[in-house]
Amino acid sequence: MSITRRTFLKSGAMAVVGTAAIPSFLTRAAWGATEAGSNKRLVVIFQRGAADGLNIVVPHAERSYYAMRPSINIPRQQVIDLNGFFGLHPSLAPFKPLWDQRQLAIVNAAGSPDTTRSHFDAQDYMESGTPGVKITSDGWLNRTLQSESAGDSPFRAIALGTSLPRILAGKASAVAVSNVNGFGIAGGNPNAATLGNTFEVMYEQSVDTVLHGTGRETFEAVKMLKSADRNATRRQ
Amino acid sequence: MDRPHRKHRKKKVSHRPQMRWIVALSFLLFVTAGIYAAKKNNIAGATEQKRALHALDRLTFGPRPGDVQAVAAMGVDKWIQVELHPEKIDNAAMQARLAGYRTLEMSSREMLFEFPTNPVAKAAMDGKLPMPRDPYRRAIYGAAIDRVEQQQQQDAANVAAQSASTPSASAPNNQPAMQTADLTQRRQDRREAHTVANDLVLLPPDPRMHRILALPVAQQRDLTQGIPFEKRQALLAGLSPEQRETVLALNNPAAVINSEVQSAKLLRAVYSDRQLEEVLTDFWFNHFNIFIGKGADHYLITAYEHEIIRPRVLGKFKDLLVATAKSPAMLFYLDNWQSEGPDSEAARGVPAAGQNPGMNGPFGRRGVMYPAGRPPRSQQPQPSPQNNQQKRRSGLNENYARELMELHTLGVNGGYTQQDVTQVARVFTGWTIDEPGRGGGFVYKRRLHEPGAKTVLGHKIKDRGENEGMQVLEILAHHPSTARFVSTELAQRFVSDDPPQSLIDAMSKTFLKTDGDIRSVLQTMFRSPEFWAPEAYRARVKTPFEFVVSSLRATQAEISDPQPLLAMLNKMGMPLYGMQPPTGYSTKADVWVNSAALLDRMNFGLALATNRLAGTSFNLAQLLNSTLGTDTDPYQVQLKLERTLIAGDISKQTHQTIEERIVGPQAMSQFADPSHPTNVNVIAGLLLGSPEFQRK
Repeated sequence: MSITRRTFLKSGAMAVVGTAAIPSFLTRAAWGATEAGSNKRLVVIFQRGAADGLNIVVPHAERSYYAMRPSINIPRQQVIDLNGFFGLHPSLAPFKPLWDQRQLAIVNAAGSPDTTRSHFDAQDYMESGTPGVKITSDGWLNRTLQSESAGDSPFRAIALGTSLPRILAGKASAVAVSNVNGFGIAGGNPNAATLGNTFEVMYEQSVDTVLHGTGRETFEAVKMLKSADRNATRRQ
Repeated sequence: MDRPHRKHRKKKVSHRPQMRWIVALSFLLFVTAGIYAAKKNNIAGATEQKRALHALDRLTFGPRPGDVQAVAAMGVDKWIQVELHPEKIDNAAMQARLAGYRTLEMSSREMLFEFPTNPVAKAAMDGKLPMPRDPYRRAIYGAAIDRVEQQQQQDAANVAAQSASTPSASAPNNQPAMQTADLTQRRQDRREAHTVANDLVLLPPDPRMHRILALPVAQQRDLTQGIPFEKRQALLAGLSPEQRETVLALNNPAAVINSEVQSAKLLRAVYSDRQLEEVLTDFWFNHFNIFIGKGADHYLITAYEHEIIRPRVLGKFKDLLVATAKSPAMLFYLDNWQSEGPDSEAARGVPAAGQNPGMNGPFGRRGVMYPAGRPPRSQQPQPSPQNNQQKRRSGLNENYARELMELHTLGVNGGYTQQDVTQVARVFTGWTIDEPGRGGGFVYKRRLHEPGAKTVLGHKIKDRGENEGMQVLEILAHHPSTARFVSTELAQRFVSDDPPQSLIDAMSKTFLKTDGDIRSVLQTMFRSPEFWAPEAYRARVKTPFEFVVSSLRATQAEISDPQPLLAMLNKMGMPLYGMQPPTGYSTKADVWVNSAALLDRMNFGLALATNRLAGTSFNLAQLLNSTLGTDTDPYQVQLKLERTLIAGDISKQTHQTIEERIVGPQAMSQFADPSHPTNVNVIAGLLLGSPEFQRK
């Protein structure tokens, strides 16, 4: 499927969130998201389970590190030194050249100011971006998209998977796509178009506020993906 | 639907000027009382049919055709009382449906040996367990041992490859090449096995089974691996339950257990006549969630639901709490089985008096099935000194203590501190599993227990061993925060995502007054004005499980093999027993409403209605109790289906959209084969995918 980034981005920034492999056309689209000007990209990796920061960026000159981790420390001779005090875990060796070229910075030991006892709350705060405030209903990445010059493409924010993660929840339209090829109505049915249209009108006219909005986003996305696919086929 | 209410209000205004007359006044009192009742019990104020629909939406997994009328005829309140006493409801038909799933009746121990885990297979391989004599089990063990051997070879090859290359960043590059070669071989084996399967399906059941048992072990293992659904059906057709399980276990013993417990959950939800019990079993399992994918829990989960959760869903909350606390499934899931007091005898190295210290459990690598509890030193894999240190001391584990207060009882803002978490963790040291590798039950091991007094939520807990845990559970079970937290969760499940505070207060009050009697708390809820308020009607969006099950119930679908439905639930993000974190699944709309989910639901509705779901069949004519032919009037079918599937309470928009685009004379002709009677089936699919059907 050769789809240009313009298909997906009418303007503004774009967010792609996923745990599995991200289809290349989406990656390409995200790379080309900012038309002119800066070529900065933000890649956010959120390790939902946990990450042991002290064994990723190791304070190898700190004696208490070895004293307090007699069994799970990274031995000093294996640490890839950065500045004489901190160093990288040996499996992060490919990052060393970036550090040497001054393209890598580490914000170490940063975390949520909220000291909740709950792992789930802590995780939730990292996605809502409002530590300690439980009633925040959207995620910080969605708010970021809201603050950008508004683009109305349904594909501005995409979650790859069966659900929309908290970080993408909010007013800016965001779609969850579990399978790009199966993203449509009644794939195998000879009357797929009629059935799809019927569902679309049904949801478009629904007074159900929750389902109406998601329904509209869904069908816009379905149509856009379909037309992109058609254009791609025509060109071939 | 709130029309009757509005009518009452108008009456009130128009009757007011007549207040002078006593006769009129008494009449007014009568009307006012009616208005009050209507306000207080709004859905009740409507019709018994609508009350029935609301009650069925909440107390069951969705109404079947005829349920609304039957419940209305019996009287909604009376029906609720029946559902609250499931033991008096005959459920024989349900039991008959489950008869083929043998693992449902097995203890964890039986399951472990019938469908061996890798450690059990290894023990048999090493001669530490006798090989079973019976041919079916013997074949299962043979395949399992083959798998273990293959894994060992793979591990050895990996180690060799790693030590051969220099420890540099390029080391992992060796692996993909090896894996590719291996994968090619595996694929070829699988092709061969599938060719064999083509011949096997031609044989009658018994000779087929005979042939399968005589196949080389590699082909036995691959026989059902990645096989198309229809061929799998043909291969298993006519076999006895034991034979069927054996064929599947040759490929993967754990998958047999998983698939049976998941199938049973789905089938019970769809067909059980004790629907409230089923809804509550789902609720309480989710409240005390465990995860099928975590090691030993796959063979502990069946008993956990059947023996721990189900018998107590309408009893005292404390009984449920104690039972889960002592269940091997929970002890394993939240790691308490290996929690060790920092000053316990085990930690201080006091030698055990003939007691297995419990640390070298069956779930780890060591001490797996050795009859004397622990293998001689020479037989153990030699861990590096670093690993050794890690393995020997498991230390204090706070996981159960934390989730016990955060998720099982008080709630995260329930008024406990990190100090309480640590203290509760100490209290529960020694609560562990007896012979865990053999499917054993709860046991208290003094050697692991942290000595000394503890303080929990300001209560002094004296040094009393196992009883400390009981005392803490007692405190937690009767805590006002627990009453509030549990009531909130119940109200979220049965009323709305954001239930009214007044309802939670009333339920909490009952909880505290009745020693946490769940049936009484539910009574309070079912009798509350909030439960019957117009805002509560269709207030909840169904979860994927609720959606799938309610579709199957509404259409009276016949499930011959639940496997494809289970796969569908995986795709929809709600695999059964598959929620890894202890929070359980959310039932809130914002978690489940998104593009992928909506498309999945619409497609599921259409697939079910047009009989494109493998293993499930739908009979429209039977559902409508009429014959369908070329002369069938699609509009009449639409009207009937609206009554049958969503109790006639459909929006004008949905009704008209289907009428205009599907059933109209011109619309119908656009279908590829317009005269084909099954075209009307899509109407059912559209209704199942409609906004109305997503709610309950």
